[in-house]
Amino acid sequence: MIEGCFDVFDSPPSTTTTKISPTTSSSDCNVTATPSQTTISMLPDEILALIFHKVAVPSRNSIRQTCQLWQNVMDCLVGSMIRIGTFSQFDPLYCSAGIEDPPGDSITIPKYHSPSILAKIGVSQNSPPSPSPLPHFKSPNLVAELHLFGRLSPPHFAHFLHELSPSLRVLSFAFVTLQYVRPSQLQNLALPHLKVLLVRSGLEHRDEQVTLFPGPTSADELIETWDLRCILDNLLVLSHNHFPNLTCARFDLIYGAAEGFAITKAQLSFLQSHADTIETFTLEYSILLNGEDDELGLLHAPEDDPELTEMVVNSLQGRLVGLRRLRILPLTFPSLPFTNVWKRLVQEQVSLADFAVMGVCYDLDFLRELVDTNYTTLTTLCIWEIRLFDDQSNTVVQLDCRVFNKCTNLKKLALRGWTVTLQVVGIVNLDQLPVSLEHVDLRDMAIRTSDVRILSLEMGGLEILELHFVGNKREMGMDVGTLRSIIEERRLREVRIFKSLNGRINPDGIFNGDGVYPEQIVEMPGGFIAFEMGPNGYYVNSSTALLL
Amino acid sequence: MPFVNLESSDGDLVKVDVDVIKCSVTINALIEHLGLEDDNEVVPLQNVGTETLHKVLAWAKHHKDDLPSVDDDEDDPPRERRTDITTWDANFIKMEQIQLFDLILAANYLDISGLLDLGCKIVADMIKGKTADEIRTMFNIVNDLTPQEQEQIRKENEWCEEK
Repeated sequence: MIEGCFDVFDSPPSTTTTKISPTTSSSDCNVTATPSQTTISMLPDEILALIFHKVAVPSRNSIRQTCQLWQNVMDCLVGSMIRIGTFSQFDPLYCSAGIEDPPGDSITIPKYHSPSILAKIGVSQNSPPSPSPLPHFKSPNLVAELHLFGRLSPPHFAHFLHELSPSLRVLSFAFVTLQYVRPSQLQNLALPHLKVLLVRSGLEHRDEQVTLFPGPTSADELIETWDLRCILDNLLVLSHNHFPNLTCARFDLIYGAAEGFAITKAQLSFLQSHADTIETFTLEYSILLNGEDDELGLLHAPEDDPELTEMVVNSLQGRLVGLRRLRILPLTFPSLPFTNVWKRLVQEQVSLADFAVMGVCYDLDFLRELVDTNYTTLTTLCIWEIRLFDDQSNTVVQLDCRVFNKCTNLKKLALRGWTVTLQVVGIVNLDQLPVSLEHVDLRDMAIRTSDVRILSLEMGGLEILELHFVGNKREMGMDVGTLRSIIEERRLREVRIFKSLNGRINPDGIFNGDGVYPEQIVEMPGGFIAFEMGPNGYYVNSSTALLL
Repeated sequence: MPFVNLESSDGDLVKVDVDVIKCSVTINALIEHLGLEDDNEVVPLQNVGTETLHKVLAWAKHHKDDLPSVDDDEDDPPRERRTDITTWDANFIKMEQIQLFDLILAANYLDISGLLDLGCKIVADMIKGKTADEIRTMFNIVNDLTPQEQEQIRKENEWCEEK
């Protein structure tokens, strides 16, 4: 699990390695090899560091215990392996190792190379603050990313920011971290090179589970320990900063936070004040529906909120021509007519490559607009929690894939249905999808096995196929035979399967031990690997090879 | 100028297509700096032996049509990085430690990031999952840490051990 987390965040080493004479580091090393032969000890420290960097964290301890030189090299790499405390189930890093899209999709950092990696600071919810001394960075300028999560003491934060600020490229807070930072520490942050600012709730997977939260009780309990007032105040303070080189920003919100409106405003003004540099922006907002919240606040009929709509639409104007990726994720059900947003984007000539919205409810117009716009710059389109209703009769309609025909450069299309409510959107004419697609994500969509076959066997460019089967009552699975033939006939790079196949697993097909369903199958050189996924969607075991 | 002559540290001359070796930042810079116009000009590489040079060129030839790793086209979001080692690379890199380290040094000297990355990955794979003792045996490294130091390291590592 730990390894997975680091894999997600570890970037490849800088492509420009400082060249060192091969003799630089060999002098202080004890080796019993003959001098004429090249041994590992003749590699310069920088190359050793590159190598160690590629070794997963658990093995890094062995490296430090090998010899003095290696220990010294590792110590210079300290920023790449700091972790105080254990991962909480709700830590964003932890979640990221699971079913979240790979970071390349949601956090894209063009023209950016991280020279070295990150410090992960904080302790988990349930363990006492770590008594460990503050790590000292021998090479602070090597640390490009700082990810803070869990409980954090203000001195910690001050220490790291002070040590690292000139070099920092990525700063990420888990939501709860903000509770432990003083507002004054967030004012006037001088981070001249910061490219990415993330504030993540760590609860982003609530919609991945039919039960909304991975264990609702514990999530609720977790939130109860949070001082929302303090967190949101700090979020506001943070949003008043200006980072001259920021290209990517994301502020998650806790669902149902009453202060959501103020935060939404702050997010939008943050977007505007960084309009010159920003390329990727995620707007996540949450508004209580007239205070009449049901238990989950999600099942209400959405009502348009003119003020919010006005605010969002107006913020998407002028100077944002650099914006390439926009994600709008309302946490309660949408009150934002996406048609207006879309019109404004077109009007302002924002050439988005990546557009994601959540909750296109009652809004077929949005899709019609899309067709008419002929948005050829678009390469990624994600529409989550689709519920399409006919405007007049209020009946569920089918989504006709022909609406995407004119998006001729589309590489990734994610259409996810909404299964908590009873309606599941039907999807037809899959064979009419643009042939340029490489990645199709159809979780919670009612599609027939024959459609899956069309999609996966006849779409030449397809590399990744994601299917989320609901099973049992609302059957939308496919038989193992079809799955087999897809895997055998096509060289798909990845087939991600969520939930079960028709609600159960064929024991002689894909089975991974008692009661555990493999939920991801990844093509490997020697066949396929079925990953087990834990209840929260992370890999717990990758040892079982799937023989087909 | 389609060809350039590279001189290895053993004094051998190897004629190579400029297109093939363009992956080497060092050689590119040398060619530019020296302003070589004649096919017979020689670029001396004092740190690369003949055997290693041939290896490097074999790799460069195979990868000469690879897309550059830096994505300059902002309209096309970078695709997910493929970190897997290709079959060709895996076969290519099967060699003795000595040659592997020579190759890594050459890739570093010639500034060929793809090859350096490959070499480092292979060494990292060798280290992965091994104890300090096993690592020392594998690479013939003498343990110069005192028992006290080892104990100290063990303590320091406690906080980041997987629980």
